Parts: sequence; C-alpha cells; structure tokens
Amino acid sequence: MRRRKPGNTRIMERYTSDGGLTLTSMMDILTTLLFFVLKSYVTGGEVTVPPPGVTLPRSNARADMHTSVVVAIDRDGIMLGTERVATVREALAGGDLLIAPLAQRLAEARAQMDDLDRMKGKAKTASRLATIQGDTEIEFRLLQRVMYTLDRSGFPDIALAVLKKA
Amino acid sequence: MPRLRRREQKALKVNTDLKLMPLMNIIIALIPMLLLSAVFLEVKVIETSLPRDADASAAAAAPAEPPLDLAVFVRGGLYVIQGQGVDPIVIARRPGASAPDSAAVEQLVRALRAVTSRHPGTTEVRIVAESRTRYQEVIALMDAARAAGLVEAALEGAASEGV
Repeated sequence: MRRRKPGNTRIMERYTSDGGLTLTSMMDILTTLLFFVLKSYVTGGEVTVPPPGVTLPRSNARADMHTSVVVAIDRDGIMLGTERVATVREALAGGDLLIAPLAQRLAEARAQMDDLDRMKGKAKTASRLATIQGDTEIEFRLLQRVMYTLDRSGFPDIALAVLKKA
Repeated sequence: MPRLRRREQKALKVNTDLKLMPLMNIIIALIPMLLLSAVFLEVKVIETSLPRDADASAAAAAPAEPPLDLAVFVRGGLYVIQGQGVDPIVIARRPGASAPDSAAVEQLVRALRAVTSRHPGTTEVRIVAESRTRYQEVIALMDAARAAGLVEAALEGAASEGV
C-alpha cells in the first residue's frame, strides 16, 4: 500500500521547476540586439574604413558617402585606394599645383572606369566623383594640390570624408 | 483499471515546449559576427569643389545685381568675412591652432547668418585658407558656413597659391 505524502510536500513538488533554463527573456534580448545590429547595416550608405594613420576630421555633415575613387592623405603621403602614389615632399615640390604621379594614376583609373561603362553599355560620364580621406593635421596647401589634380584629371566633383559628430 | 489508464496517459505525455536552443545557438554566433563587422563611427561627406571661373558664369547668367561673392578668409590671427557690398567682419583666431574654438565658431555663424539674412537666397561661400591652415580648421569653417545656410562652400588658396 502506497503511503500518502504530506500536504506541504505535494505543494512543493507542484512549484519546483524541472531545472531547465528559462530562455524566453534571453531570447527577447538577443532578438532585439540582432534587429538593432541589422538596422545599423541597412541605414548606412557606403561603408568605408579610413586607412591606418588617417584620422578623419569631425563634422556635422549629414550626406552619405557614395561609391567613388578614394584618395587618402596622411602625414606621409598620398594613396589612391590602397596604393601609395606620392609622398608629401614629392607632392609639395615645385611650383606646379598638379601632382604628376597622382594625375597619372587617376588617368589610368578613369580609363578603367570608362572601359567598364562601355562594357555595361552606359554612356560616357563627363565628370566623376572622388572622395578625399584626409588626416586632420594635413596642411591646406597639400589638400589644395590634391583637389586641383583631381579636378584636372576628370574628377571635378569632390567629397571630403568626415566623421559624424556625436 | 483506472490506475492503468493514468499510467498510459503519463507515458504518452508529449513535451510541447519550443526547442529554443538551436535558435539561441544561431543568434549567439550571429551577434558577435555582426558586432565585429559593424561600423560605429559613421563616415559622412561634405561635397565641395574648386571655385569656377567667375567671368564665365557671370557672362552666362548676366545678373542685374553684382554677385555677393561672399568669402571667409583665414589670415594670421583673424577670420575675415568679406563680400560685395558687405562691410568686412573681423573675428579673432588662435594662430597655429588646429581648429577654431567654439566662441570663434559661434561668432562666425552669427556673422554669416547676418549676411545671409540681408541677402536671402545666398548659398555660396568661398573659404580662402592659408597654405599652413590645418584640414580640421577648414572643415570647421565649412561647418560654420553650412550652419548659416551657406551649403555650397568652395575651397580656395590665399594669394600666391590661388587656384
């Protein structure tokens, strides 16, 4: 014959959990976090990372970055994409504002872009956009020469990359 | 007999709880991956250009009034705001500083707003910087101009290095 359990033991059994984790609240947090992270991908424009050694200036500009040729200027030199094309000394040498090595590489880049457009069946674009990623400490005379070279090389539309102020 | 039925019922009881562990595993793997590749510093752009030939545009448009030709000059220890029919406005500058202080920026915005309020529809300004002016200062001046409604800022070198 089975012995009847005391009343309080039965109550305890009813309310004691089986030892499993309650995952629902954690799932809620993780799902919210997942949506937040995914949203930050969707709302941003062109995603770019400045090259090492370049600290972009802070600004309250709101315009998003577009796909373009990127010219980075750090304290040592000028880079087109990831390739270093001229040093600061070379760029500032001479009285001419045109930076010859940069102009040459830009002409090549432009020719490649025109070829791609032709293959895609697009009309030839007269002016193209270039983005300058300049370090906060570079001098205006260097920036000016880079801008002049871009303008003369068929990139008259220039965008200056900045970090959005908080 | 009733005892037997109760035992059968116990044996056939199905666990209806959702199996969340596989989903948890996916999310826990996905979140660090997304966080690692996320960009928290937003890169924005300021669209600009070199100043165009004033004579060519003037001949094409032939305006009734002479253009305002508003410009902010960086000169040693001063910022000077000049324009056609505008009395020069002088604001103190910390020479050698990599960026203007907040008081100078505030004064610049106020002065430029006063000019734009007298000349509605003006959106262009030239920033005429010295050769040694730091890039951060140029950007700060462009920000000040934009805050005053001058959204089309062109960069120009002072005197001997003018483009």
